[in-house]
Amino acid sequence: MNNRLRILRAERNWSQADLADALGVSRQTINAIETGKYDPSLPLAFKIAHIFAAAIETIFTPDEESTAP
Amino acid sequence: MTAVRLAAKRRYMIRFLGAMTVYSVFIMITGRTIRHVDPMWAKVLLALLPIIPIGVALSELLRFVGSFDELQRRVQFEAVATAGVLTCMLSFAWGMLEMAGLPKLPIVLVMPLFCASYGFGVWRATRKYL
Repeated sequence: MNNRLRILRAERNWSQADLADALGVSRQTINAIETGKYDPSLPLAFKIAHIFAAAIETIFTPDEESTAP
Repeated sequence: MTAVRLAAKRRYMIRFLGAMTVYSVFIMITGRTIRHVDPMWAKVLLALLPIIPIGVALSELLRFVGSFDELQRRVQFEAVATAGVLTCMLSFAWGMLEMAGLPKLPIVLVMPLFCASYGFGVWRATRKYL
């Protein structure tokens, strides 16, 4: 899964630690999501969408392989 | 790291180290006295004495894991799964080798084997996600 987390965070001048505190997760978790090493759970993805006041599908997009029939 | 997480980590470290200190004392007491105690029930009680602080340490570990976020829990889950698989495989393999004539090892070695496998599992999962 791809995501625009790093871009959205940079637009607001938030550090990974700022976002981690707002979400109640570790900074390493934010880094793992941004680098694509870890896909967040649905509740955490919704929390991220809520914090950025954006629809979940505008932040997270599936890989091409996962959408292929 | 948030203040709540820091407090949880500090509490865990203090209680875990306290439990392991008590464990070390109990191991020394058991090791020095178990041969000189006569009734069997007293030997059994002395032998099981170090299990009490181990139980306390493990319950503190579980409480600490409860304060983790979802990725940290994933890392722990994969580490424990790796440890379980490796411990089962290696202990079973050695059991079969004992039937072939290799020396018998004490079952007490299973716990250090599990701990070493868990450490390997944490390293492996950390490399994967972090």
